[in-house]
Amino acid sequence: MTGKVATANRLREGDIVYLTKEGEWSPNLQDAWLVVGDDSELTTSASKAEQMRDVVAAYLIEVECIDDKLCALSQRERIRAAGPTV
Amino acid sequence: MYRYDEFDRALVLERVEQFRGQVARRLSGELEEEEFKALRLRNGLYLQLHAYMLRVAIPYGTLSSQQMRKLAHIARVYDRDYGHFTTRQNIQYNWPKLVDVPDILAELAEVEMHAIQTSGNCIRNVTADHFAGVAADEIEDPRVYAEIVRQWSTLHPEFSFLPRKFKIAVNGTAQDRAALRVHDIGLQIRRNSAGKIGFEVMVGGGQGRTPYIAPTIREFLPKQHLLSYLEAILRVYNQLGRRDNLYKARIKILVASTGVENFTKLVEEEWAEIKGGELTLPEDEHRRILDYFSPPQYQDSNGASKTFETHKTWNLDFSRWCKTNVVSHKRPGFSIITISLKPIGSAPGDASADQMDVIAGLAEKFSHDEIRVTHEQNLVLAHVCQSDIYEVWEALENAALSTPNIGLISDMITCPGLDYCNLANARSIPVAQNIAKKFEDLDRQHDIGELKIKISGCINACGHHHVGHIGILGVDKRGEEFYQITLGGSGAEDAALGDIVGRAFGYDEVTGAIETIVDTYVTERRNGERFLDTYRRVGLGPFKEALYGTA
Repeated sequence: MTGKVATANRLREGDIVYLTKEGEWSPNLQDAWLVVGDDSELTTSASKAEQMRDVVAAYLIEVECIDDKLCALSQRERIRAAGPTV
Repeated sequence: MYRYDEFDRALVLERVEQFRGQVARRLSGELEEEEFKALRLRNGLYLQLHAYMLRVAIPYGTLSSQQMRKLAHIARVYDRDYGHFTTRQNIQYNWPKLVDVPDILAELAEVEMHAIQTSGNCIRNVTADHFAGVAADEIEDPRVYAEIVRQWSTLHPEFSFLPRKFKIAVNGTAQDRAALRVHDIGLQIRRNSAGKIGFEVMVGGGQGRTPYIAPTIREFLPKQHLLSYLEAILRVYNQLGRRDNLYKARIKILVASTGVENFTKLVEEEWAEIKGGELTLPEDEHRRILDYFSPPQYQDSNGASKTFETHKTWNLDFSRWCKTNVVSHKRPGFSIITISLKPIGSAPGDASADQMDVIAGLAEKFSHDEIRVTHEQNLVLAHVCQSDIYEVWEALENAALSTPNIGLISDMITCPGLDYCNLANARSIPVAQNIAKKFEDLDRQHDIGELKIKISGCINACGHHHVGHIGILGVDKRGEEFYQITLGGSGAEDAALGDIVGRAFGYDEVTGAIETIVDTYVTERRNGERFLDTYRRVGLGPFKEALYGTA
């Protein structure tokens, strides 16, 4: 199953975070709120968090859910989620 | 070394406090990200793939031991214990927190450092030959002029919003170690037939998606006119540069589309208006800056070369390192040491905080308190007495800094690539690491000889792939990393852009492809030919055939 999650960087620190269903931001992709289909609510929540200055540079990414594990589809987002490969 | 005067000091301190206020206003919501972004970029602060990234200026790549220690301290306290030296002779930190950056800048200001001109559409940190002041055949120390350009260009109101970023490099020897012809402006110090010193002025070089080798627009510019001539070039560019299209905004596009002759005419006309005016270098100010770069008081080096030769016969590892990393100095009994930041398997250009401290200590004790950063992402101790070289080497050896590979295949320029960069399409660092591991055997590296591989993770070409003897460009093909290989480029005095060899290779294939290219060179080469010489003689043919077969 593929869907979308919202990601951003924490404004104060810069750390990568993912939006959870509870509206928190987690450093762990596995905590992310996966939305399949209409992603407008996800977009709204993400931009609201930007306006609140919790995070910066929020956007949606495509992920795949395999055996209950979320995995980003693009190499860029896989590296973002796991850290530098070197 | 240049020391700040009261104006420099005041400017940098003011900047720190301004930025502290800007960060506070961003956090309180008085500034939107769009507004703040323009301000943070004026202070070298980017938002990269994983985190913020702070790029600190090292003007013309020269710094003191005290400054290097401060860079180590910042890595340790505010970052993840390392820094990355860049092709503009700067350093960048990959993990600073926004809230810490004002304090980092304040700490930098304590040692006369800052992050001004490391980002944005302004005249960027001016680069220079890393052997400036110590190369035997040098006409004049290029850093004197790089410093003059810095003073003229820093916060220059007319040139703070150029169509695009602007990079200037200065070189003072016949050998071009500053990659002049791939700069927006390259200044080659020359002596004319009357014995006067001035500059050959090259304009409109660059890499990126449309690479150009800069044409010369003036064979000889008397040095007192340097700033008025630069101002004339910048004015023409500022007026006519393409602000409507990011991809066409660099001066190289303007020079190419206007034509070199027309462009030169425009510059000369503009220059005629301001020549001989207030921008003429005042003799006393020129001398003041010159004095800062006057050679250090070298100690007595009697018998030093003999001691050095003896050390080399004792220790083969030392002797091998000397072959690649130690070159002659203009003063007998002294040498220039290049410290490789390319140990096999590491990220090219990275140095840990502890390594920075070791190097600072060595510079203090053995090299007149001075360190240089090279555009090839290594460090230099420029004034080492030959009787001390063995001791320096032992200390470097203990700090994992004695890789004997300068100019060899494992001494690669590599951009941060997709492991760190927001713009990248493919990884660069692991590609470099895999190649370095493949050619780990030093005998083989020495047998291959001078070979410059340069790797970029996207078309912006921060890894200088266009001018690599072998260039590697990472591209994204339907979500997968592929690498396009070019051959025959050079960023030196024989500057050339590489030729694409054929279809791109996958991540797992690229190391093998490089080995095929190197093996083909070894088969084809004639006595003493470097890779580049062989390539220029035989062309793409044999390499294409080896890589793709004849079909």
